[in-house]
Amino acid sequence: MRPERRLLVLYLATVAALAAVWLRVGFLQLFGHQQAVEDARTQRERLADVAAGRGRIVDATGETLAVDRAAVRLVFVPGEWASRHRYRCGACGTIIPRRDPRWAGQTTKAPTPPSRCSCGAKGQGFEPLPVEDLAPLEDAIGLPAGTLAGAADDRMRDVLDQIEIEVAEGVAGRPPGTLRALQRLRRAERGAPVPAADVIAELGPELEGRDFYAEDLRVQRRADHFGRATAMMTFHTPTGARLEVRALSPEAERILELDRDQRYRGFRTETFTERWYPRHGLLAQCIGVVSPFRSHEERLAYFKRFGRDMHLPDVRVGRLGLEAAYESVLRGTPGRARLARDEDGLFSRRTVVDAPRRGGDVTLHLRTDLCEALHHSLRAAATQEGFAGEGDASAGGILMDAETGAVLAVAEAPSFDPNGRLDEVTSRIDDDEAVAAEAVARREARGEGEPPEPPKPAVTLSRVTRLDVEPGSAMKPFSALAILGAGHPIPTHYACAGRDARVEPRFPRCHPHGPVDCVSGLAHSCNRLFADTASDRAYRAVHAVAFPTTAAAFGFGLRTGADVFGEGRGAYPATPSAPLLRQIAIGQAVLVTPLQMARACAALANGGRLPTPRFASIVDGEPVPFEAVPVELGAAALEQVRAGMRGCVTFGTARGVFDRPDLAGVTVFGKSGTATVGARDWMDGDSDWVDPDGADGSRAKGPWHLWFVGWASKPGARTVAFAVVLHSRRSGVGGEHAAPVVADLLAAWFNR
Amino acid sequence: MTLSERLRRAPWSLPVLAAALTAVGIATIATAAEGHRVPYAWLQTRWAAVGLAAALLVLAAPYGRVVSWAPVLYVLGLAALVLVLFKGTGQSAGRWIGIGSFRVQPSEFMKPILVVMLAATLRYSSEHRRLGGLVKPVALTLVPFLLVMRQPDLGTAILFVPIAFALLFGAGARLRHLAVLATGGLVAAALLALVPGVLKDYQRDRIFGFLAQHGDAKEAKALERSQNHQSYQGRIAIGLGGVTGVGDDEGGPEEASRDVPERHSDFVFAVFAAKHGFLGVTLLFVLYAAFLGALLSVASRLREPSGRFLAVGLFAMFAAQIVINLGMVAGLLPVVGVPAPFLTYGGSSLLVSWLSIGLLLAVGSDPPVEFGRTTYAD
Ligand SMILES: [Zn+2]
Repeated sequence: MRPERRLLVLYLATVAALAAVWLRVGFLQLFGHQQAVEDARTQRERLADVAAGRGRIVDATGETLAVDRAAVRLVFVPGEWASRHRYRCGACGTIIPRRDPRWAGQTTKAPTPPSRCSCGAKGQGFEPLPVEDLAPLEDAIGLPAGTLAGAADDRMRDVLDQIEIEVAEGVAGRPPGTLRALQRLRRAERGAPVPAADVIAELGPELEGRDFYAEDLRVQRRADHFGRATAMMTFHTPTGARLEVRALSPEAERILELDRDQRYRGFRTETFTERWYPRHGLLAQCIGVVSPFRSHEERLAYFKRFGRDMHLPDVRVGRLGLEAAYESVLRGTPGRARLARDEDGLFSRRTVVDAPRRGGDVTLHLRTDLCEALHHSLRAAATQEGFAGEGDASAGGILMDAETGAVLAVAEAPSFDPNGRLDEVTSRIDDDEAVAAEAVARREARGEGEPPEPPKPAVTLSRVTRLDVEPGSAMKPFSALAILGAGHPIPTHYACAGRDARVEPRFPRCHPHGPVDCVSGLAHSCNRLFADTASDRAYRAVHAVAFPTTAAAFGFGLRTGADVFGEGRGAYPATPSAPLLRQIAIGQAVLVTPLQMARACAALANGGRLPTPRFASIVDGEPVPFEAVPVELGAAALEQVRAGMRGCVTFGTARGVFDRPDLAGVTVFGKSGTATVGARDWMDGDSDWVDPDGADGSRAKGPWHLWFVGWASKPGARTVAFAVVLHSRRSGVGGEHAAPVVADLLAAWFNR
Repeated sequence: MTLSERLRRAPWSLPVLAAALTAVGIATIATAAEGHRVPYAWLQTRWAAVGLAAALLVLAAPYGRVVSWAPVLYVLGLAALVLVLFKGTGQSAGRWIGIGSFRVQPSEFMKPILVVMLAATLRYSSEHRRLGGLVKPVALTLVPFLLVMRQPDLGTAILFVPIAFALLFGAGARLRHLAVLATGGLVAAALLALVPGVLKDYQRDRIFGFLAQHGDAKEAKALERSQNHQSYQGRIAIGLGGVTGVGDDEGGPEEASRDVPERHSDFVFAVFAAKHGFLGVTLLFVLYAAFLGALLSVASRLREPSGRFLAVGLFAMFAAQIVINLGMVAGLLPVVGVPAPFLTYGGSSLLVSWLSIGLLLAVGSDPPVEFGRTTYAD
């Protein structure tokens, strides 16, 4: 090839390559223009979600139990604070904000007037506007003059430090070698953040060309951070206002008024909604709480369940109780807003594209006045002199419609106020859940035959639906049904050995009483009658099947399917041995929740239908249907058990408790229970005598659980089932201490 | 020959085109650096003045002497590259060396030095027409190539390759020998890329980010955004330019290119494309093509081999930078740090470009040593 030809080839090859690039650019500009416009727009704009109002929770009478209410935040916007010096163009009147040099990384001290306006005016015609006086704002909040400006400058310094750190990290991530240098600097500073300026000074020449990148990054970070408003102060609705849920505190009203024309650059008022529980601690575990996401994992799990969701700080997730159980209804549907950058590069222009939809309301069967009565009565019983166990006095009670399973009243002690101090409450929930999970794990690890361990009472775990404990003698009606259902006649003249261990050394001992049959055995709560009959050599094998079957038919050891969050399951052995039969016959070595107990009593009351407990009556406008499963009950057996439970009230362990004028005409069927924790103490037969159900409990050692369960009817009124438990007692008996709580509750129900 | 004679004979179309490109560059940098603390356009103008002065100085010197100094220049260049490796400020490998208050990038200067050195080696020899004879020029290229790779400055190092190939091709090396060389080089490069530690992670990311661009649309987009953000932003800015450039009602070119990193330096072409649209881009390409044509016409007018090879080498240097930079901004090539001659902000690059113009002027204005052409002329 001739030399000239070679040069030509070189040139043509280059031109061909250039032509390829030219065609590519042409393609991008001629055909990719729309796409580029679109891509650029999506970079300049962000879609944000608009929080939806959360639905209300109201009781059967329409009283509000949980509601969104307005609150006001004073927020600080660094970008505005940085450009609070403004000038008015003499020609067109446009107001031009200028960056305060202190916050723009410049060394000059005072802000300078703009050099030109977009209207074309140049030079001197710019009139400085006075910087806003923050005094009225400070006055409205009751702060000393100058406080806000000082706090704002402090925040600015924090923000700038943060920007420098991020810029240094961003720059260090790019050019080779810088990261090592940064690490070395860090080590020298003992892990303290290093200003970007130091890194750049240290790296020197390497950052030529990169200093532009650092500046880019700084501009970008500044836009991000400066546009990010941070809450400075929050003003709630005045405390104590029970139903004026929309009213604001005077300070909030005042600063809203002051900020109406957004005069205070740097400070904005921001209205938001907070969750408000007008009844505070009443029903805290049952209603639950809401709080924002606390971790990325939690957010992801939530998105997985409900779909893409919002990034606003106002997002509130139901954590407990009905707030969690009805999250999907209460949460509503978030809307969408388009955020565009303003002239400061901040995403401050907001247009709502999709309006949010408020969550549905949840109406409950509960009556707050009943709950309040039960709560007072429970607290009184739980804190009676000499009854306080270790830790908080703890108790729970429930009243249920015996026909439908509608939950009419619930109360627990202790309680907590779900308003305010959300972080504390939320982390408490986490702690309590961990404790409960650990208890369940330990319980499962122990295996059958050993007494299961009930969870430690923890404040956020519901005593009614979550904590399962030994029912003690409150279980005897169901033992009787198991025995009778298996075709095993209960002795009609059983001579109890009482507390004498020489006559009958086997577990359990009993309190002194005369000869009993099934009915009086239930009424007096004879331990030996039920233990002996259950472990009878001839029927042992039959009972090993009949006891778990009957328990399962009444829902013990199974979740009830109630509309609650985190329901306790209880525990019931599947294949009990003879010694275990003696225990479960008197309600030891099994665990039940008051919810399960009230539901099982409802089945006894209604004659054989086990209802699914229901808290909500109407959800988002739709009535919630009732459900029930049939329980096969022999008529004769049911008759005997009912007679025994009636006898408990008329001549047995709870005699006299319900003989009150305010309960005239009310027929109460009940069963007391006094259960030891973990079936200890009186098992070996040698330690202090414990009368689990009798009058002679004063010498005993706790802790144990005092129960009273059953149902009550009155002509012309709904029959109601109930269960009350007082936890962790040092002494006391169910018939004497839990039954009066029930009497108060029934009086409140039938005289409402 | 007198200086005035030389000035008369010099191929003036070259500096005129180069000056036009420099002016375009300064104007574009001014747009890119709008609202910026550092006055990049002014700094670039100063460097342009320095470059122009340097070009005139070189023009005054007979290029034959420059070629005869080639080994000295080459050794000095290598020494600077070695120095930069060991005496990097901040103890990390650097690209810059401080001379007084100036900072220069030795690898930029190595480009023309390599051209001079190769021209000096090849000028009176026909060794390179044998495969064995390629060893010497290849070795001369490989030493600075590896030193610059070590810095690590993949962009500049890669430029040495087209320079060497174009020079060998222009000097008459056999095509099949060059093919053997190219194949060997590719195999070696592939091996290097697979051996860990040879390429820095960020270089590997950029290259693989580029290669992954055409995979599954959604995934590719995410990868592109994270790893090849720069290239993506460059293409958006180009696309925004449309036919006639971004109008003021759409925020102007400053707004359109605001998200492009390095928009005043390596990606300045994106700003130009956003500012002037496809019409402006076409003009710029014509300008570049004319500049390269003028450059090659200097070579074709010459019979004296060292001058001719110099012109071919500098042609290759400019052509490779232009194609690689524009191709990279347009998203046709991976993002490597190659400047667009005269457009990109950067003192060393601009100075070297203008020095090269000076050298070409000197080559073009020298009395042709036409080996008895007068005797045998018809
Ligand atoms: Zn007895």
